[in-house]
Amino acid sequence: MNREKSQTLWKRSLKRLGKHSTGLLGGFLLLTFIFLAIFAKFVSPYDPIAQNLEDRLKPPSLKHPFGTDYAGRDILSRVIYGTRISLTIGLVSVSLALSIGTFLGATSGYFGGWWDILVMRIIDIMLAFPAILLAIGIMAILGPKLTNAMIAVGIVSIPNYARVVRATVLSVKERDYISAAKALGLSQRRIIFRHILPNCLAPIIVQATLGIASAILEAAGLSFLGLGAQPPTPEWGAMLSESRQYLRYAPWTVFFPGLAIMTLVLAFNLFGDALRDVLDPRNYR
Amino acid sequence: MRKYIIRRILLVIPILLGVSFFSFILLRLIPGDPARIILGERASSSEIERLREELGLNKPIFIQYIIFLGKALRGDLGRSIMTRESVFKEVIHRFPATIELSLFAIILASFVGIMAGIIAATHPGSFIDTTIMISALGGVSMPIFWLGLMLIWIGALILGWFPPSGRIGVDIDLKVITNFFLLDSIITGNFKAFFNALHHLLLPGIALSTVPMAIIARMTRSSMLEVLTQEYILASYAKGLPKRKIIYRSALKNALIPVITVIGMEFGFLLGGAIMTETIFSWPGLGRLVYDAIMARDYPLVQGCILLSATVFVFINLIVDILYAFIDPRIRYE
Repeated sequence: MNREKSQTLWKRSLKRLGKHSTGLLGGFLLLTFIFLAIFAKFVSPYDPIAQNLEDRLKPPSLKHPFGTDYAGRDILSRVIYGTRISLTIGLVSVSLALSIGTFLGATSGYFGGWWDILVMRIIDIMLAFPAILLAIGIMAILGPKLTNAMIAVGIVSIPNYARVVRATVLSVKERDYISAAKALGLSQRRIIFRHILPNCLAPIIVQATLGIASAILEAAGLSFLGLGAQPPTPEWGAMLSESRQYLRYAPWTVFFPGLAIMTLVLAFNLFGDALRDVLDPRNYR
Repeated sequence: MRKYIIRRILLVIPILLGVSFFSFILLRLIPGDPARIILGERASSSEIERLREELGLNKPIFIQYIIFLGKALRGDLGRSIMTRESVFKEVIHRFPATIELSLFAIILASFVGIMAGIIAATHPGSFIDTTIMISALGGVSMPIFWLGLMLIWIGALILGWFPPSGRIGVDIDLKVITNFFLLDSIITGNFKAFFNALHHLLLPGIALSTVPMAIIARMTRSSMLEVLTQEYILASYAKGLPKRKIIYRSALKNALIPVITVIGMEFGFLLGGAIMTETIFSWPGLGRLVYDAIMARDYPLVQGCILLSATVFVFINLIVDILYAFIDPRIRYE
C-alpha cells in the first residue's frame, strides 16, 4: 500500500518536473555538462595540459574558440576537462557529507537523548564558522591538494544534511506505521533504514542537488586561493588563479573558466529549485 | 523575554568553547612538529625547544588547551611568524577595514534585494518577476572571485572609472583615528578623503554584496507573496486603500520579519566572502590577512584569524536572534 502510494508520488513529481520550464533548462544544462565530462577526450580539440609557447595568450579565434593561456594551452579544452573535475568534486564531497550527515541526523533524531544533544552541539559549533573559513582551517591541517579540498568541502557541508534528515526523522517517527513497526518487534536498524529514511528521500534529494552547487563553488574558491587543485590540473578555480595576473592583457583567460563555474552551479541550482517545487507535497493541488 | 535572552546567551558558551577548541587543535593536527613547521627546516634544536616551551607543546594536550584558553581570554594569541607582532593586535588592526566593507555590502544588498523582491512579488509570473528571479539565482551561483575580477576588468581596466585595488588613494592624507576610513574622514571633516574612500569601496562592495543581495531578493519575494494573500491585506483592498499604501505600509512590515533574520545571517557570512573579495581587491582587511597567513604558512596567525572571525560570527548570530525575538513575539514564547 505504502509502496504503491510512494510510486505514484514519484511518478507525479516526474510529470510535474517535465512541465517546469526553469527545471528543464537546468536539467538540459546538466546533461550537457555530464556529456562533456564523459566524452571530454573526444570533444575537446586539444590536450588540456599540452603547452605550446608559440601560441601563448592568443585571443579567441576559430583555431582556439576560448583563446589560449600563458602557457599556450587551449582554454576550451581545459574548460571541457575541468567539467570532469568539478562534477567529481561536487559528487564526492556531497556523497561524503550526505552519508555522514544522514547517519548523524537519522540516529540523533530517532534515538534522541544524550546522543542527540552531543550531535547537535557539534553541529552548532561547525555552523559557528563561515563555511569557507572552516574549510580553510581543515585544508591547513590536510595540506593543499584536490582530494583534500573535496574532503574539506564535504566535512563543512555535513551539518546541512544532518539537520535536514534529523528534522524529517523527528516528524516521521511519530507516525502510526512506525509505531506499528515497533510493535511488530522489528529491529531498530530495519526501522531506520527501511521505514524512516525512504520517507525522508525528497528533502534529502533537494538538499543534495543544491549542495552539489555550493560544493563546486567552495572547492573552486579553495583552488583559487591556491589550496585545492594544483597546476597544471585544468580545474576552473585554479585556472582563474593562474590567469589572474594576465587580466589586463588576456581577459579571456579569466572570463571563460569563471563563466563555466557559474553556468554549472546555476544548472544545479535551477534543477534543485525545480525539484523542491515538484517534490513538496504542499504544492500538490 | 528575559528568560529567552538569558537562555540564548548561555547557549553561546559551549559554542565558543567548541570554536576555541577547533582553533586550538588546528595547530596540533598539522602533521609534524608544530614548532619545526613554524620555525622552518633550518632552525636549530635550541630554537625549536624554546618555541616548544613558549607554545607549551611539552605539556599534556588538555593542559595545553587550558593554557591556550586562558591566554586567548587575555587577548594573547601568540606571535605572527611573518611580522613577529602579536596576533591579536594584527587581527584587531585589520578588523575595521573588513567591517567597513561588509557593512557597505550588506546595506547595498538589503536595499537592492528588498526592492527587487517587492517588485517581483507584486508582479508574480510576469516577465519582470522571471527576470529578477533568474538574476537572483545567477547571483547565488556566481563565484565571487570571478565577479570581482570581471568588475576590475570592466570598471577599472576598460572604463577606468574605478580604482582597481586599495582602500584609499596614495595621494590622500587622512588622519586615522578609528581605522574606519569613512568615519575618520567625517570626524576630521576631510570630505576629499571621504569621497575617495567611498570610490574605493564601490567595486569590492558590489562584488561582496551580490550573493546576499540575491538571497535577500528571493526571501523578500516569497515572504511578500505569502503576506499578500493574508486576509487583512484582502480586507485593505476591499476598504479601497491605495495599492502602494497596502504594499509598503501593511504588507512590507510583516513580510520583512524573516528577511531581517536573513540579512543578519548574511552579514555574518560576509566575513567568509571577504576572504575572496579582499584578496582580489588588495583590501587590507581580515580576509586578506587570512590569505597572506595561509600563503606564508603563518599558522598562529591563521589560528588567530579563524578564532576571532568565528567568535564575531557567533556574536552577530546572537544579536540577530535577540533582535528577532523583539520583532517577532512568537519566537520568545516557543
